[in-house]
Amino acid sequence: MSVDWADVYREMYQDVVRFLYRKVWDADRAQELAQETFVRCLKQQPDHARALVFTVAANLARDESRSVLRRKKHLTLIKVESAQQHVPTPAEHTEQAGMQEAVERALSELGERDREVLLLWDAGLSYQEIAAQTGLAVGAIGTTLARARRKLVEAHEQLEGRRNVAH
Amino acid sequence: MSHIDEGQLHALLDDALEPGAADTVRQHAAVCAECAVRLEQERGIRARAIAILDLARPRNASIPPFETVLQRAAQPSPERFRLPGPTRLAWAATVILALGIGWLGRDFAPRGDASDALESTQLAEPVTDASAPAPVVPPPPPPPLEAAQEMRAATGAVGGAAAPDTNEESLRRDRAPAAASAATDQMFKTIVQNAQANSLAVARRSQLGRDSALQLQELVVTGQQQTARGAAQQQGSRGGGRGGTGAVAAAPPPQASLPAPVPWEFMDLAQAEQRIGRTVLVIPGLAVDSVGLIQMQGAYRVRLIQRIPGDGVLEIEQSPAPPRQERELMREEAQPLTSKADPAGFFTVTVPRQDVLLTGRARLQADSIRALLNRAR
Repeated sequence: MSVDWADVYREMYQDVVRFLYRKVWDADRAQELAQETFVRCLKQQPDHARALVFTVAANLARDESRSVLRRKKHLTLIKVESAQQHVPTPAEHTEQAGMQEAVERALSELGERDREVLLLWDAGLSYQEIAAQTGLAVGAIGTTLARARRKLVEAHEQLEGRRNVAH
Repeated sequence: MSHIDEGQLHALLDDALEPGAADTVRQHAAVCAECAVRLEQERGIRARAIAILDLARPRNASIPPFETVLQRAAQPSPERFRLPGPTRLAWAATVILALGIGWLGRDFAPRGDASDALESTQLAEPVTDASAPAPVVPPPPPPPLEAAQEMRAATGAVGGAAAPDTNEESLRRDRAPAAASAATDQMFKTIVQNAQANSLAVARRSQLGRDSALQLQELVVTGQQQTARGAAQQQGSRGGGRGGTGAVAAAPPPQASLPAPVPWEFMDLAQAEQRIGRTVLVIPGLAVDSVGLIQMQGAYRVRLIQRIPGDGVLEIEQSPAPPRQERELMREEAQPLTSKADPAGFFTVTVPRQDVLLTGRARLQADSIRALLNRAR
């Protein structure tokens, strides 16, 4: 059965960008990597397109995190679109950056596997897909998610508490 | 039924349980107060976690047209160039073969001990050339240390150039019965050719240094000859000598390969000063190796060789300074000389000192030579 990549692309693009964004913490780079993910997937005809997309995306994110120098070369298309979007004011930007940093740090408190399962679930994958992606048993996904969510909430509350005290 | 574990609670909340399993969990939560409370607690945690993740959501960018992805996919891949499988294997085999041949052929390479032996047999040639005409009169001032070292290196290297020829024949004889294949023969030739090329390159590099060393040696020798000749003349005319003392031997005629001898006279410092009637400028603290004197156009030129501890020698030539205008011109012309060493690695610097021009030559930086010359008194 051939994959209609145009449909898969439209359905999954935002999910892949969100997944990648929580890995690289750079919106432009996440979009660039998302496009690269689909470019690589186009050359294949997998049985499970969604699983392949997230496998490729995870590998790209891993390569990216290993790279010492973050490339700042963006696609022209993305640049044009970025320019048309809402540009936050400095105050908004500072607040947004602070919130994002807290989430980033809270996520970094999680174990690698817990974080991966949580991000894959947040990107829209089913328990079966997450299990196939991570190699865990389907029955273990709920437990892993429960642990990851609790740890994320606790770590974030702790960081937010410190942030409020500091202000 | 036992209590529901948190994994099942989260699976129920995520709508990830099979329909039958989900019903069972719901029924238990309906009758078990503890599990009902835990279900609500986990619901809250789940909702909170989703909210936290939403705080770090990328801005909702519009989806680029799928055509851009297709275009990128159609572009040539920026991946590294890779050879086809069989070609890769062929290259790998070639490299392994080359390494193997190199390893097996390491015995053919010329060794240092062979060149040393040849050096010892051929080292005498330039030394005999230079020392043959030396008379037995005053103890000859020793040639500069660098000159001797360079001569040694040069003769050794030149002698080494001939080594592969000898080695080739002997190695051919030794190896002929065992290695008769054409491949081995070709490998042998290549190794010998490379050795010859290397030796010749070394010899060429050393030739410049050898020439320079021979020039210095020649200077010393001709000075000795002149001293002996002058002493013989003085003994013949006045029955006494000055300058060169001691027995005079009949100096053999200079060899045809050497340029016409320069009439330098070698003497000690006091004699030189007495002869020229003025003080010879000397750099204090450096041992004077030799003092040479020559009379040109009615004026004396003095050439000193002073030893620099650890750095060889400094040759200082002192000549009467030309008139001021010429001196200025000379100073300007002398500057470029200070920036470049001669082929033997010597820098030359000229410094005007009162009525004398001091020209220093040494294997030192030009600034160092100038500083030394300025200390002369």
